[in-house]
Amino acid sequence: MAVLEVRDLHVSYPTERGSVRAVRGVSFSSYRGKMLAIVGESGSGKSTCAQSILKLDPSAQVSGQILFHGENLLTAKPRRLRAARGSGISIILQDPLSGLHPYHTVGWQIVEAIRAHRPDISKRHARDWAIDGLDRVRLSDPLRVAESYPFQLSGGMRQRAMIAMAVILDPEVLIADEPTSALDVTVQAEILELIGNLKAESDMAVVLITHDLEVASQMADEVVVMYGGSIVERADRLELFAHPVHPYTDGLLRSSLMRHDGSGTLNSIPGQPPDPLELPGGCCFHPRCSRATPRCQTDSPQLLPIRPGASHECSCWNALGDEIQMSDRTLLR
Amino acid sequence: MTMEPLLKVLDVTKDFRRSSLGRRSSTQNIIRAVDGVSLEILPGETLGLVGESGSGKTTLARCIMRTCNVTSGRIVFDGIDTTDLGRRQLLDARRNIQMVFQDSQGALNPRRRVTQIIGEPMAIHGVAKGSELRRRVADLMEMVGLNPNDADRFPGDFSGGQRQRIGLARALGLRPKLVVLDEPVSALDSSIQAQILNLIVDLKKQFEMAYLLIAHDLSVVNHLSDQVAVMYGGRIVECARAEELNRLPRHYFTHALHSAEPGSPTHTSRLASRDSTISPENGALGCSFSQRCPAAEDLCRETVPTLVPVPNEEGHRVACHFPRTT
Repeated sequence: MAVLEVRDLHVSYPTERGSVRAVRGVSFSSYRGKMLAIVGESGSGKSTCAQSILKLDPSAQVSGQILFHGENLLTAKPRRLRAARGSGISIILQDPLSGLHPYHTVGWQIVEAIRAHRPDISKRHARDWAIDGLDRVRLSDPLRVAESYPFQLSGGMRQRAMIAMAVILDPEVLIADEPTSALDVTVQAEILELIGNLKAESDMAVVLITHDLEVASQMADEVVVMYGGSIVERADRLELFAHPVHPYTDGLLRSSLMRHDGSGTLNSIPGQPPDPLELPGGCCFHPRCSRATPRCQTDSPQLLPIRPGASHECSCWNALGDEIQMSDRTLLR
Repeated sequence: MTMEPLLKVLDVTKDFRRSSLGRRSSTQNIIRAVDGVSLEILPGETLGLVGESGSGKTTLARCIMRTCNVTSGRIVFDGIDTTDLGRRQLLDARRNIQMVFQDSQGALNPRRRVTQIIGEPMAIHGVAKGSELRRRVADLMEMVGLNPNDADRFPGDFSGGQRQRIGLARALGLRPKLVVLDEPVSALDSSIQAQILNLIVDLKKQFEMAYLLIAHDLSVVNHLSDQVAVMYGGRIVECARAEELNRLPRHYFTHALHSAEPGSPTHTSRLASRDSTISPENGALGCSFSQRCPAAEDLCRETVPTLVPVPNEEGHRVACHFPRTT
């Protein structure tokens, strides 16, 4: 059974120029020991989804259902929500410098996180626990890190400290919102590996938010692709990268340098991502889509299985079908 | 006949003082951001400079642009030593060397119209004015894929990818011989990156200029570059033709960069964790990569390796005591 189930999530924000519908009817489920990747560009609504799960932004108008063990967090009492945050569901943010308090040592902050949820634990015991936690994320000198302020640590170490704090209470769900985008590529590989290992060790459900399809292809069990606030395609990792059926997913994969044969022009998707305030009618991708037909401009496609009973879903009127077998693409290496 | 290099960087070093407070003269307060770097760019060639944050690649570019002065060493551009040029002469030299920045939002004045932004270098150098200037700006906008009708709008009205096009148009107005591209696509969305990369390739063919491309992403560098130089801790640790570097990276850091790319076929070997930010001043003793290197021996912690040619591979140089062989 899913630990976390998001059903028909809609999120909008009031702005000066009117209401932005950042997320429009998104549903997904997250299972223990599995990693779900939500992939999209800036403005696609992927981070809004993540933050709405924990109701982190009070100005957002959220509707739908967020079921954590069957309990809807959107209607839950503040006390229940607080219990779910941190010990049930926790989040790692992109920028660990803004996620950590600059005036307190890393150790102090982890102790605070422990004692906020477990006031019965003594400070001394919580401190030992925090140091164990820093050790668990493979920081080589956990004592020294515990006594350091965030600015004294490198970006990779800070992100490890952030992860240590997020998993200290053994949450069932870990949301990682672009955990490596601010890091060097060598450090990125380490952090992703760490998240993968923690997932396996403690059988967590992980929701990984990323703009990078390659990161998703390496890590995730299931991948959800978002565009303009909606899910355009959802599939098992291997299936998605071998047989993408939405023209947007296909275009992204074709424009990736990692999958480029080396010479010549890159395939690119023309145009710009849509302005969330002025989403095009019908399918939001139609102005950039090479397969668009008049119907795409007026009717929004539904997210439906590509074959009866298939877990691979796509929302497109003209999805890539069997006529284009993706044999020309290097499959997952 | 060998071609005369367009840009020669000779043993350039750049020190920064850590803070104006405290012990001003102490050598501990000196950070060596660039440490004895030499490189050459031939006319019409693209040199990719790759490295992690803090490796000194942007500082080197600033030295080449002479937006900061070098501590020691020489920079010769197009036969002219720019290291000690005065304001007036520097202005003339800069006509042939232009820069495109990573953060297009920060690089474009938000209160200037696009036509002023793109036209400014041409106005400063007296290349064109009045209606002639406007016509040239319109031509440039068309060349980089912008609509000339948008010339009177402000940078804030454009998306990140379009702003990067504005930055390219501004750099090209003077028909420079060298364009420095500092992380030109790293701030862009994945669906836009390919568009801008293609544009960068097309413009080079059209204008026959050389690029110095700075990026942290090896796949971007490999796609665009003829030559690639890898920086670590302020030094160049490996330099080769792009295909050579792809085939067999000799330095362990280059290899680590390769294997750390998501989706890379050799996504297996990992670097030892970086314990603190590699501060360039720590590199004084031994190879600065030795703390993280899987093949480091005592020699590496004692002596700094020099950049030497790899036998039987033309133009391939590596600074490592024990370079990789397979």
